[in-house]
Amino acid sequence: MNNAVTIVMIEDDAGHARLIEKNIIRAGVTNRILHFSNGTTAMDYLEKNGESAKSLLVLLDLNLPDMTGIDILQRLKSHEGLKRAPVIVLTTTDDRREIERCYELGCSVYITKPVEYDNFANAIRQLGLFFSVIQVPESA
Amino acid sequence: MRLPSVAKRLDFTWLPQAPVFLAAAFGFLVVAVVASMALLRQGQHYRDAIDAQQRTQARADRLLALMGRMESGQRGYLLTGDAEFLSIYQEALPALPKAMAELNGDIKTNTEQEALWRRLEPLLRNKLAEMAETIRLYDSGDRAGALTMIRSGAGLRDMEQATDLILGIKAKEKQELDASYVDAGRQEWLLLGINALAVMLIIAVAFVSILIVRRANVAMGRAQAVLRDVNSELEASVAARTAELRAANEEIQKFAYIVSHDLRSPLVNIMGFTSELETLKGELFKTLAELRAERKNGVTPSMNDGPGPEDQAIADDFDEALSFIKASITKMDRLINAVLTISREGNRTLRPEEIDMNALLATMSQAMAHQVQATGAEVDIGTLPDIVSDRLALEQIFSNLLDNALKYLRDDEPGKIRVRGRSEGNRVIIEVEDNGRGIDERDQERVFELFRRAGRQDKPGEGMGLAHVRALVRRLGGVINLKSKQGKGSTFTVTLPRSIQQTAKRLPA
Repeated sequence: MNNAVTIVMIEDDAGHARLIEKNIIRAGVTNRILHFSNGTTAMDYLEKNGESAKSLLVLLDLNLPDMTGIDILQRLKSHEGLKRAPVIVLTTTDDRREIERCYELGCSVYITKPVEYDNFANAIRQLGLFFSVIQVPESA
Repeated sequence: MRLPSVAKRLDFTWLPQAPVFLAAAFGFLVVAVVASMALLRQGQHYRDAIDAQQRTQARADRLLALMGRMESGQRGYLLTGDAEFLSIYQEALPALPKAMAELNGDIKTNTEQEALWRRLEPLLRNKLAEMAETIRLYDSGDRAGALTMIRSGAGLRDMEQATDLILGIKAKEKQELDASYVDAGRQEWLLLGINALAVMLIIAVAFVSILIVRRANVAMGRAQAVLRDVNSELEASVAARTAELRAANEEIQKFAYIVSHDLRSPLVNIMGFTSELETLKGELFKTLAELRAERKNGVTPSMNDGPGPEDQAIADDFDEALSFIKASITKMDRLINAVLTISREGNRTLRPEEIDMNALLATMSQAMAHQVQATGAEVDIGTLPDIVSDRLALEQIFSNLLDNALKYLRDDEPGKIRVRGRSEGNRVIIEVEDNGRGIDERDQERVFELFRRAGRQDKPGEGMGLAHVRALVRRLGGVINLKSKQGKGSTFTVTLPRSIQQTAKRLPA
C-alpha cells in the first residue's frame, strides 16, 4: 500500500489499539497510524483533514464511549470527501444484524476480534497483507 | 381488584322475599277460587229452595182456587139446577186429589207446615163430602134436604177454615222464601267480595311480578356493567403486566448482551498481552541463556534459542502460569459465548409451523446413531403428537435432553432411553426418560440454572444445556419438570402448548 495512505484507527480500548498496531507493524505495514480513542475527536480530525489528506483508511471499533461505530460509519459514508475511503470494522460484536447493517452502510470489511490471540494476530496480519494490495483512492 | 365489591353492588337481599310473597299470593288465589266454587254450589242450592217455595205457593193457590171453583159450581147448581154449574164442579173434582197430593208432598218435610196440613186435610175431605152429599140429595129430588144441609153452615165453616189454613201455609212459605232471598243475597255479596279480592290480588301479583322483573333486569344490567368493568380492568392489568414482563425480559436480554460483549473486550486484551508476554518470555530466556554462556565461555552461542538448563525450572513455572491464564481465558470465553447464545435465542423471532414430532425425533436419533452405538444404549421413541411450534427451538430442546440422557448413563447397566408423548387438552406432553445415573434431589432445581452441574464432574460441559432448554421451553409457553432418583434414572417432562400461535400473542416476546 502506498505509504501516503494514513491509517486512522478509532478504538477506545488502549490495549486493543496497541495489539492492533503491533500486529500491523509485524505484518510489515509501515504506514502512519493515527489513533483516536473516541468518536468525537476522530470525526473532528476526519472532517477537518479529510479533504486535505491524500488518502485514508479507517479502522473502526463499533463500541465507543461517545457514539456508536455505526454512527461514524454513517457520517463517513455520507461525507462527500470521505465516502470513498475504505472502512474496516474491527470489533468484538459478532451479532449478525450488526454485521449486515455495517455492510449495508458501506463498510469494506467486517472483522470480529477473536479472544483467541493467534487468530486475532493472524486476522490483523491478513489485514496487513490486504493493505499491501488494496487500492485506496486519492482524495480530490 | 374490585371483585369483592361486585356482590355488594348487586344487592340481592330483597330477592328471597319476592318468592315468599308470590307463593302466598298464589295460595290466596287458590283459596279464593275454591271458595267461589263452594259459594256457587251453595247458590244453586238457594235457587233450588226458592224455586220449591214458589212452586209450593203456586200449588197452595191452585188448591184454593179448585176448592173455590167447586164450591161455586155446587152453589150455582143447587140454586139454579143449571147443568152448566154442575159441570164446573165435575170438571174440577178429578184434579183435586192431585193438587192435594202435590201440596202435601211439598210441605211434608216441614213439621210446622205438616201440622197445618193435618188440620187442613180433614176439613177438605169434610167439605168435599158435604158438597157431594148436597148434589146427590138435589139430584135425587130432595132439594129441601140439600138446602137444609147448606143452611146448617157446616160446609161454610169448613171452607173458611180450610181457606185460612191454606193461606197460612202460603204465608209460611212466603216467609221462608223471603228468608231464602236474604240468604241468597248475602251469599251473592260474599261471592262478589271474594272475587273482587281475588281480582285485587291478581292485580297485586301482576304488579309485584312486573316489579320483580324490572328489578331483576336492573340488577342484571348492573351485574353486566360490573362484569364489563371487571373484565376491562382485568384485560388492562393483564396487558400492563405483559408489557412489564416484556420490558423486564428485554432489559435482561439487553443486559446479558451488553455484559457479555463488554466482558469480551478486556478478555481480548488479557489474551493478547498474555501471548505478548509469552513471546517476551521466549526472548528473555534466550537472552538469559546467551548471557550465561557468554559469562561461562566468553563466546556468544548463536544457535541456542531456548532457556539454558539452569533456567529451565523458572521457565517451566512461567509456562505453568501462562497456561493457567490461557485456560481460564478460554473457559471465560466459552461462558460468555453461552450467555450470548441464550440471550440471542431470547431475541430470536419464533416461527410457528406444523411439526411432525415423530419425524423430528427420528431425524435427531439418526444423527445421534453413532453416539448411541458407542455407548451401547437403546433409544425407543413412541408415537408423539403433532405440534405447531418453532422448529429450531424444539430441535434444541430435545437434542439437548437426548444428549444429556446419553451422556450421563451408568457404566454398570445398558442404557435405555424412552421418549413418550401424549395430548392433554390443548397441551402436548413429551417425556424423555432414561435409566442413567439420575440427579440428587437437592440438585434437581440447580441443574436448570446457568453454569450449574450436578453429580460426578467426569464429562465435559459448561452447565448450560438445561438452562438453555428451560429458557427455550418457557419461550414456547411451556414448562419443564424433572423427576429423578439418584442412581436410577431421570425423566424430563416437557409440557408445551399444542399451538404456539394462540399463546404467542400473549407471551412476552
